Amino acid sequence: MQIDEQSSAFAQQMKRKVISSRSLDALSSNEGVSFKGAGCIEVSSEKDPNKSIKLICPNSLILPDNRLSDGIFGTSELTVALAGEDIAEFDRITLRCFADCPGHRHVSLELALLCEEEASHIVHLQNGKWTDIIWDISALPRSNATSFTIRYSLCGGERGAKENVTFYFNDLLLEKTERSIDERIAFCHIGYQPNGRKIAYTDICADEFKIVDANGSAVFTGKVQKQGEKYRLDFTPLSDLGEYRVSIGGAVSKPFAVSDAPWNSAIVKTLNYYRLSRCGYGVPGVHLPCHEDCFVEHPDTTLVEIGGGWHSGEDLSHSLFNTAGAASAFIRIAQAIIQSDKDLYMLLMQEARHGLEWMLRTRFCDGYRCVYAPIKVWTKGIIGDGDDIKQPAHNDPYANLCAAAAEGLAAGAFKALDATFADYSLRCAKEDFRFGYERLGLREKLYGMYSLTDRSQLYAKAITAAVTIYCACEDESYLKKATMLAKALTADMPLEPCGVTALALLIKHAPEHNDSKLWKDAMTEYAENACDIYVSDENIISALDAAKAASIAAAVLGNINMHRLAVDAIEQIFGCNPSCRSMMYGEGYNYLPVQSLYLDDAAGALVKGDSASYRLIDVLSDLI
Amino acid sequence: MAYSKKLDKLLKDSNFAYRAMQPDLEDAHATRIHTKPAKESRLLHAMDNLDNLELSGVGTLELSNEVLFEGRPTVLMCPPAEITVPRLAVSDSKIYGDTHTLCKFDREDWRDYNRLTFQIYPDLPTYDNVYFLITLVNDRKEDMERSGLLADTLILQLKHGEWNRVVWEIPSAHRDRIIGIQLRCTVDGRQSGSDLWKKFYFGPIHLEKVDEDYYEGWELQERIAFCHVGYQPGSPKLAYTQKVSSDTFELIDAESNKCVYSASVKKLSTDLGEYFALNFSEFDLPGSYFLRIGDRQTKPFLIDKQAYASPIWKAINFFYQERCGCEVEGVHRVCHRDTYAKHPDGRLISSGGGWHDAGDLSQGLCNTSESAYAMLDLALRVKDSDALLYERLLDEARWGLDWCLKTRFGDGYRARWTRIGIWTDNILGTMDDLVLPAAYDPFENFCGSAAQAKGAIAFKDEDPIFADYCLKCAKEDFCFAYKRTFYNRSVSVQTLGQGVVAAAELYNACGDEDILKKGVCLAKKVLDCQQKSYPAWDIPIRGFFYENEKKERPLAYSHRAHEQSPVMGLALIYEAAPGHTDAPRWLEALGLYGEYIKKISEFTAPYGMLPNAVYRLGSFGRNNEKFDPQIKNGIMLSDEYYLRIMPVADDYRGYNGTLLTKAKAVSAVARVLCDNELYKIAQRQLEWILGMNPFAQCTMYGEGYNYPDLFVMFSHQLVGGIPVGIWNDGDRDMPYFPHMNNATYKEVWVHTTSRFLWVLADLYGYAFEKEGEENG
Repeated sequence: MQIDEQSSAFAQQMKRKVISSRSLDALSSNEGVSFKGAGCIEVSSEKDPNKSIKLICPNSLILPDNRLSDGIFGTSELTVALAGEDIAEFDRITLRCFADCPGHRHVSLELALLCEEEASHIVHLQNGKWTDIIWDISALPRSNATSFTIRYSLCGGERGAKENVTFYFNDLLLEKTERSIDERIAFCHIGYQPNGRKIAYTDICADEFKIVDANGSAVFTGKVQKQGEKYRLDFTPLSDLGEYRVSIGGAVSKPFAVSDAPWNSAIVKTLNYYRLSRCGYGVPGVHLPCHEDCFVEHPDTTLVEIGGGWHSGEDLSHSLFNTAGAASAFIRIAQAIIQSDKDLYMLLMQEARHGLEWMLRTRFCDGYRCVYAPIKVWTKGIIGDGDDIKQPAHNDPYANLCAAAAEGLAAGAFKALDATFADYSLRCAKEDFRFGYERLGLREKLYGMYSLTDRSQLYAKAITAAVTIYCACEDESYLKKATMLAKALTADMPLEPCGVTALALLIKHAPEHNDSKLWKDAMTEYAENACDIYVSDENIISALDAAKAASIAAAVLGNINMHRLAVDAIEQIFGCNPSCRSMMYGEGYNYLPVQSLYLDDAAGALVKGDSASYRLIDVLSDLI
Repeated sequence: MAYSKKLDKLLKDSNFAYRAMQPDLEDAHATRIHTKPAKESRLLHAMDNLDNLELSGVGTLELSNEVLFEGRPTVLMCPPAEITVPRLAVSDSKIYGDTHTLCKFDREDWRDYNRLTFQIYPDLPTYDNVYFLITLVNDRKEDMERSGLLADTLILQLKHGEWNRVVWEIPSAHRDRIIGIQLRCTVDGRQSGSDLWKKFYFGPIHLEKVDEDYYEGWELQERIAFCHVGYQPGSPKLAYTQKVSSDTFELIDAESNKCVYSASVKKLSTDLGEYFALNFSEFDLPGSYFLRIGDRQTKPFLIDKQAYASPIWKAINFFYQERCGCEVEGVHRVCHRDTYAKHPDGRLISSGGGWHDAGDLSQGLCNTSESAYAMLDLALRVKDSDALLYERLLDEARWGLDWCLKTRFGDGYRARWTRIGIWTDNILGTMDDLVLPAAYDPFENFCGSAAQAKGAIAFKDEDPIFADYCLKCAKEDFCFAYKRTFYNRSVSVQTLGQGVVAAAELYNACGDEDILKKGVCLAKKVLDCQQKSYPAWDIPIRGFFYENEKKERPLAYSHRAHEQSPVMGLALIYEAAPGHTDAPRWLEALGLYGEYIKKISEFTAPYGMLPNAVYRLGSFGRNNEKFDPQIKNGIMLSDEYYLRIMPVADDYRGYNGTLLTKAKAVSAVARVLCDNELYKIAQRQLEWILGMNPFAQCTMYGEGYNYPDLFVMFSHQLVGGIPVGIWNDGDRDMPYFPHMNNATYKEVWVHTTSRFLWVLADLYGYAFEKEGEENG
């Protein structure tokens, strides 16, 4: 799926006017530059007569006992000392890099700025040519800058990738730029529903604003409302379908839509992102068949290949939790759009099944399964050649309950599409529920760290699993277990977002139960205490959990405020935030590069990878 | 590019062959045969008792009241899906065994009857697909000693949880001393989640008499043989029949039901009999039509430049559903993630991935690489005319290329052939793991090299990094093979030819003169394998190839075929280096091969399907006794040499693969020589596959009309699959295609299906030159 490069944050940055800059000449000589890790650096004029720093290093190392350091073979780091300077006047760092990495499909580097603490940013390079790099540091604390580091992670290479990689760096600059006035309007890039609330924010001071249509004609005029240090633009009355822009104080925003299905594009792009994240098979344009030499090992020494499912968005790991979450979210969003878009429904169900297949294949049928397999390197796919990965299987109650919840949901959802698969999912769900339920009390002993929050989540997942199985097979014993667990959950545990989801499921599927008032009361109390949700790159996962609780509570309780909270969170993700940028690569405007060393051009990637992606579509499944 | 509405819908419903295409069962042979009324019927066994029933193999047999048939008890057979064995040996990797119930008879003569019907109720809720076999046992020595592949066997795809009425026409079956009917279930593993024990309930078996289908010979009788998918504008458009009640025929517009063309039928006297030709070659207006002659008419077909689009897409659909290692909805879950190729130094590579080879679950480099090559070849042909098809072909080809690339160890060793006939549990360390030795084989490395070189060309703009890797591997594999080929004098022309193909494609991909030089050396050896002069035969023929430079035995294939490799090699190297000093010799050899083809095509008029090969008596060593009688049933060319229409074969029979391989060689020569007649001959081979045969059956499942149920053990019937093919019985040299559908002849196969695409890489959209009245 191609993205509109002109809408990226990089394109925006390139257009900005540079007001002042300071060269860090370090990259044309060795002075002030330190190096550590694999490989070496030297000054070179091979690629640029003005001289560059040349970094040569391997993409992997032979390690004793194949022990990877933090999941990778090591790093090569080039650091420029900044001596505790205050660089707050500058809002971005720029440099140029020539990557010479034959056979490497993705060439990425991590940039790190050390002030009080380290902030980092991943950039993707064009192989075999110079790449202009821009890092917007305006949101970072930068009064006491100690160093700037360029870090290459030795994460192996696919077959065909040359083992030594070379980079040339020069023109390292600190720059102060002027933000275009048009960039200062925060709105929901993907648009708004006709009858929904429609809010934008800006720091541009004006009395009124306009909404203009595709011809530039004003279709709505509103009063600007001051809200703290920003200005609020409310154009909720605008309900005609169409494409519009916000106009205020000489600034005009990029276009957005008022449409019945503003989120469809984001759903399709999320699907695209997952398809590109598939593991174990060749993904055209992304990788060859991969990780067929990575295994999860049962205590009895039998092995199951890990390859399959999806790579985690940020690296190449596999997580049962994320896979189960994504499979469930795909099913729920598919069910939400089944009437309006049958083709998309089929594609979503197909993707859900891809994840489910991995979950089902990586279980040993006795409670042990692949729970989490950290993988951060490309391997060669040959067993016995030194880069094989073996991870232990775990018999983790929480993991089995997560799996059971997804499998139970699949059992119901696939009945009409593939009864045999649905039946198999149901049997696995029941088994996995038993593995989890019978060992609920053991998790503390198994994993030490335990709090009321942990227990609340564990019970919530058990309720969710039991209810989905009950829905799939109408076995009352599962409903009974769910209600008992719900009693315990509501009695003495803090209600977490996943608990809200669990109780909502119970209310939906057992509305006449004696305890249903108890469940509703708990949810109502949660809703009454719910605060506005603020979404940032750092907290997006917890924010989406809160949004999910809000969206499902809104659906079950008919609570308008909770619906607003959920929609606000989504709108923040798609541009209605202080940075005025979309957090999804390729969707909306001003989006950052994909923050992964292993996947660059993936429309639909959200900051924080798949952990955030499936949560997003799970929220949308309630809002559609 | 606009397709027909029917194809558009099929593509949409199948998500462009990323989901199983559904066949139109109205047009299936099975549907027609089920509706034939019985003229006589005799109850063989009521199956409400256990009399004369005997169980063999692991399992149980009992009378049951769990599932009744018309209120009566039924017989329940419970075979297992797997048997605990110490560890599967390589030779055992096909299946665990066989459980069957023998319904016994006392040497009964059933020749007055020609159909069996049988009721069966499978109870297998945990299986994606249910299949079952029935075999007739005739107590004659020659029948009892027959290979299982030639036994009178029907394989069935059944619906779970309901009574299935099985109908089997048996006029071809050996049935003069029947001692039993075997009701069989192979023990061939299970996917995770499938129950260990299977349940089959049996209902009554009847012996019946019906008007039987034609199953052997060249006759058409009242049937009209035509190309079911249709004809490309400009190309010859012919149909044939043997009985006519009118001197003229009409071409009717299928939408308006109006006659758009009529002409006289033309009587033909051929070596195979008398026929009538319906020639409408001059009619080129695109549309959907049918032929009418007297009170008979055909089903509709297209005249359209995209007449072959439908079978191409269906072939892609077949390949998609043969994918291994991943989930394929409705066919299987993730599979064979515990099967490996083992290098002599102990390293392993997963052999899961690629495509299952046929009706079983095997995997092979040769078929995989040639299939990928064929798809890329066709993709490049349609690149500028059909972007959708181009993209889809590239994607499917890449799936195969990925397997070719990942199963190489990088030193000449690679996974060559993984014989798999079982589902495995995907857990490494359990009894059903399959670990097969990797091999260092020059032919296979040349095959891999050619496909990878083609990949380097096809993906150059689409994915340069992938293309570079393909090129690197192609060069390495070529060198691995070359150094074991060049100094070996007994290397087959098949390997030499494949080496030239690889060299030419590599030269096209990278312009490496050293590789061209090596290709030229191999081509010299290929030339030395050809019969260039007329031999002193009663019917002299030249231009064919021998197996090697010794020229002791003409090149002939009976199953998997590679006759295209020497011919394609010469064609490709000529196209790559037309100015080379050897080029005139390559061109001369191609001309001689074209002459050979034109000559032998005369023997099979009006069908025009190419005879298999020239055979020499006494050239098969210890198999002479078996094969010489077959050779003598061919067309005598001299005391020692014969031309066989159907191959000389042992028990691997079915000749769509050999025919299409020859057709690929022909289309390659046609391309280089710009020879319109050879193009027509090549197209005629596709038409044979698609209905222009004595049985008037389209052999591709789900395409055209009257298409037969094929042998697929581990899936539902796969739309787009082309079987191993129409075959011959015994020593006779005539086509044989009875209802029974045992392997190999009716087994789906990537080999045949890929060759269908490969021929179309030269033919699809070809603008035929009109030459007056086409030869009937």
